[in-house]
Amino acid sequence: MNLPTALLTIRWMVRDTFRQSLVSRLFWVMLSVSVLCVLFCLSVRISGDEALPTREYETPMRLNPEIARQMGRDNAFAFGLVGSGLAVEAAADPLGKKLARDEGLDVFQTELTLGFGAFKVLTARDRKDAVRWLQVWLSGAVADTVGIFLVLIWTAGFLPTFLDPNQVTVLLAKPVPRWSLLVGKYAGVLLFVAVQASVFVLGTWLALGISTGIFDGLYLLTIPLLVVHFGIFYSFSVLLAVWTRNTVVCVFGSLLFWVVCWGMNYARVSMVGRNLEGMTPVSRGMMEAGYWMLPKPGDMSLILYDALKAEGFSMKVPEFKALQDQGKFHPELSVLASLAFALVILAIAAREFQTMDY
Amino acid sequence: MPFAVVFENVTKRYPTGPFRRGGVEALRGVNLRIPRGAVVGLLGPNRAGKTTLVKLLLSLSRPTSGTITRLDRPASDTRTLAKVGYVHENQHFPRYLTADELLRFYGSLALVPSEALPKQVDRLLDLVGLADRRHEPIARFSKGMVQRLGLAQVLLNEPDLLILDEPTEGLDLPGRRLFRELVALQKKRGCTVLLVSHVLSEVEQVCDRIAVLVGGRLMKEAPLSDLLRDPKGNGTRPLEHALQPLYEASLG
Repeated sequence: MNLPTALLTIRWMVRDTFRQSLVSRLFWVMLSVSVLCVLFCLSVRISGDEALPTREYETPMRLNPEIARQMGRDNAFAFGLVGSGLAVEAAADPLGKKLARDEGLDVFQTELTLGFGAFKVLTARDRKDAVRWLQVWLSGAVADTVGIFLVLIWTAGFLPTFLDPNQVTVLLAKPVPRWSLLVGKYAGVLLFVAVQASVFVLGTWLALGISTGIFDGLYLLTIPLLVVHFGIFYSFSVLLAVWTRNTVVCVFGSLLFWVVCWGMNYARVSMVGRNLEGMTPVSRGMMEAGYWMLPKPGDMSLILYDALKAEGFSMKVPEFKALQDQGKFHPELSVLASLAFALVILAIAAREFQTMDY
Repeated sequence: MPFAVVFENVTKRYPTGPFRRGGVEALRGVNLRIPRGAVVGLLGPNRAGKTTLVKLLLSLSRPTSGTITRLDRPASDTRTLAKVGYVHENQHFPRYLTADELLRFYGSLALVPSEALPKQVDRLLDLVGLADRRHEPIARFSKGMVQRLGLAQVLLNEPDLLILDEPTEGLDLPGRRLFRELVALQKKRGCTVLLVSHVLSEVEQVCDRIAVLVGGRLMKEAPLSDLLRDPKGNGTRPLEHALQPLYEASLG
């Protein structure tokens, strides 16, 4: 079968998937979630200190732990020499500020107003960092964790519905390769998620920029990373759909698979990062094989964390940090191995679909 | 005589059981030749293997043994599907599409040239009486309207072989008349038709040959007139009477 026919089929299947999402109301549900988040971002107001002018050779350094503890913070950073003393992130409470000033330090403080003035939060950050802190949470917690989970659940029904024999049989009797129907559906769902992820990220980015005047481009890296993360796991859902044509199996199967992959990812990172002893070479080998063969959601989150330069906004999982500190984390290889997994699974699904009796 | 469809000693076994060792034989050594331009009624009791035969003919399944030729090519060559039209017995179209969108979608996948497709869609919607409902979602259609749309859908590619599995279920009287007219029209242009139906009156009206499957075996393949001839006299008999002894073989 020639390529133009396959491409034509894929184009039609992508279009069909968008129609399906519109009618199943999934499109509107996801758009509503994005609109709520955009409204939340529009409601943000920020007042307080600007970032300190720093030079290239000045890197943030951790504050004396004793001072930090007295100020009520476990982690605080000094951001360069300014005038007579260091300016630091400081605790928001007055005691912390006083202590810092007694030490001869300038103190950052910004006030975030959320919900159009309904809530006020004092943060010990400069204005830009306060906005980035919000972006890190929107990206890491809302999109990359809750978002991926929900989207896997919500899109799990697309393929089983399509593969229902009463619906797909007439299409299978057309002179187009079967695999192109499946790949077209996969591409359609992926594109649909890419559009929704773009609406979410671009919308919240613009809204935060409009309401605070701060536009930080790093946040936009969330879009490709989210789509890749989803695409890797959705391939498994495709295989389950071909095997069972059952939405419930696809929902629970792909979620269970995600959890298993997280477990394998974490276990292997702990093994290498913490240099666990008492493991036999066989179990080590099996752990390594499992890690490299399966998708790596933990690594994907770590890559997103690093891409957003989220250090200082949220804590890195200690095992992952230990692995990185030892120079044993290879993000490129990790992503490539996960993509290879997705490709192999898709190829198996396409082969199965191509040869199965209807 | 040129044949549009040839089944040679075709067997289809569906494996069952935990190790797929058991199995149900849906077709057993079927030999069937359908001449080009013929309208053939495929009859048989429930579970006779009619749907399996249709699936094999459409390459939806593969035979366990034997060979199938469709439009002079092996059935595994799916290029010939570009000249085949198929109505499914329990047709469910995507409910979110309109009649117009569905025909464009399915027409494109049937490889109808894009420049010819819009005219073809207009003509067929007009032919099946859905022109004024073309922009309504299929979700709002009655079963009869969906069947009419199914008939329009099979004609998009001006097929050389039409496979109609229970195409009149849910059709009202005008719909059935339309169906008969369409079959006659296709026969006139040389198209071969395989009609699977339990409605014998309909089969009698449109078919010129009959094939009877019972228990996965082809029990009879003959011109309709031969089956209708009363063996006890010079007159004719109802088709039902001709089929009864063949169907009873499945009970024995």
